[in-house]
Amino acid sequence: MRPLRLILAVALVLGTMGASNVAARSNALSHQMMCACGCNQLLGECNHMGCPDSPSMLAMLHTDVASGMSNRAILLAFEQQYGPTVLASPMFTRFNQAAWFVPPAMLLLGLLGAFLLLRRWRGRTRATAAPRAATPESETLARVRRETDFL
Amino acid sequence: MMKQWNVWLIFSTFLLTMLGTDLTRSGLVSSVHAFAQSSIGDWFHSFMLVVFVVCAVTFWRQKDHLRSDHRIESLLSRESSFLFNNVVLLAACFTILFGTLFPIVSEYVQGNKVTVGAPFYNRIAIPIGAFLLLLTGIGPLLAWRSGSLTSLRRNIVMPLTGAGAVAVLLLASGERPWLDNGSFYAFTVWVLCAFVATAVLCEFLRGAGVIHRQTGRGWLRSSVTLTHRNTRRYGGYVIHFGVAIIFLGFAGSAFNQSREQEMRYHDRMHIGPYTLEAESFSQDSNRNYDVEYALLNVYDHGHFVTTLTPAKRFYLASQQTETIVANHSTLAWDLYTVYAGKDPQSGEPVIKVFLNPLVAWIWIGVLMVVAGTGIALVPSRLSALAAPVRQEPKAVNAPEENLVAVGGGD
Repeated sequence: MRPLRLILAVALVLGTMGASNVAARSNALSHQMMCACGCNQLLGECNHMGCPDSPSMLAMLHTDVASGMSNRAILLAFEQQYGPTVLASPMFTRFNQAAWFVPPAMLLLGLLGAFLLLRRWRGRTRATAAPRAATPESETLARVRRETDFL
Repeated sequence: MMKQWNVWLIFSTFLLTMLGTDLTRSGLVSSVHAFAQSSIGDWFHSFMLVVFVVCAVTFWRQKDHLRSDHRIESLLSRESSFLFNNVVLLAACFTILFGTLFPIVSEYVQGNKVTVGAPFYNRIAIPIGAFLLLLTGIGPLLAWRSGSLTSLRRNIVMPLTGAGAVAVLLLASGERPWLDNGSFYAFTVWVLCAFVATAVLCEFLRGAGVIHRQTGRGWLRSSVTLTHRNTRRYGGYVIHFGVAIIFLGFAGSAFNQSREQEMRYHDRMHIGPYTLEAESFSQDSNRNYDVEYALLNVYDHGHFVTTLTPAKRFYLASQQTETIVANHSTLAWDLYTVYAGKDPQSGEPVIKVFLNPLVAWIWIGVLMVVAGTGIALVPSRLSALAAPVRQEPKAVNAPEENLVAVGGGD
């Protein structure tokens, strides 16, 4: 009896693993699409009572996921049926790639520009720095600065 | 430093607020705030142009007064970190502007509009925000004017230890950052929050420790004295701490949950640690509106917590429906309940519930930022921070006023 229970338990786990994967994939994909009813909410978060579109869209999504379609194929199918605005973010195709490339590129360019500017300012500072006379006051300040470097 | 840059940041801020108003009110970007019919567009665009011209002319006429002496002694200095901080904030601003305008640009270039929604901003803006949080922790570790890798390495040990300890605690508590993007970003942000918080606390402890050793006063009083001696610096540290707390709250949104369910009398709904039981449903009306509402008892692991009454009002004068949310907030969770109305087919009430973790910490962080700003505005007790140190040796119990802050602060 005990081995039978173990087999049944394993079968139950294996059998429902697929179901949880379908549910998880459907949930993830529903957050990559917009509800077609015009509420400007993600499909997975549309909370309109009596929404004319989200129940059928979610059912279609669940069917497509359960049938084994890839994520990209599902998104393309929805784009074909509802238009490009159904996708919550631009797909990585042609001109839409600019949406994904430009902001990180601008950040990297900005950081590089800041680095080059700082190097230029540092060079200018070193070129114009007058030699400091070794006065007792400046020696004291330098010693205090070294000793209180933690502060 | 960077006076011209700062002035153009101010001009750009004002121009961008007007651009945002123009985009939403004109209907260029779909918004509920768009005017139905209006001829204000040309006037508004002309006003924006006039503002730009005034800014440019003002800058041109005053540019001699805005010349700065750009002196940087080291790339590893607090001054350098300001510039990098500016760049990252500008990149975040540009990301939002680009994402907002991209549908319009796409329609112009490709002939069709695309949607730029939450998945885009989650993928692009969150890493920029995480990088900004990292800089928030590194900045206080850098010295003014001239830092070094040696001092940075020495100062970074404790913050890294704090971050590592939090990472281990999170993993031990069941966090699995490799599961999905949300879990990964939440884990990263929480670890960075620990980094920033530890860095700020170390700054206070170091300075307070010196005063404590010199004067024998308690740690709390030494911290207050330390802060009062340089309010801008330590008020700024409080602001940094507040920013870390805000990010801690933001990261909780990766674990938001929602559930919608038809609920009859005494039906139950489970979400997170809470169980909601429908006690009753009722209706009422007054001169202004008709209302339907639900009475929901909330239990946390079997213990009664509170009763929530989400409602739906129908205003008679405007013939508009409004949803009244009922919520219960704790430090760990924000529970929102919505009476979504009745299912058109079954006629049964439908309750929608949202469970958002760590929202309270966003408000706590905001209060800390306000408090830090207030501290920074208080005049420091010592004005002669640049005074030379006296040559004669100090007595052991000399008053703290004789201590001079060197190499730090504003």
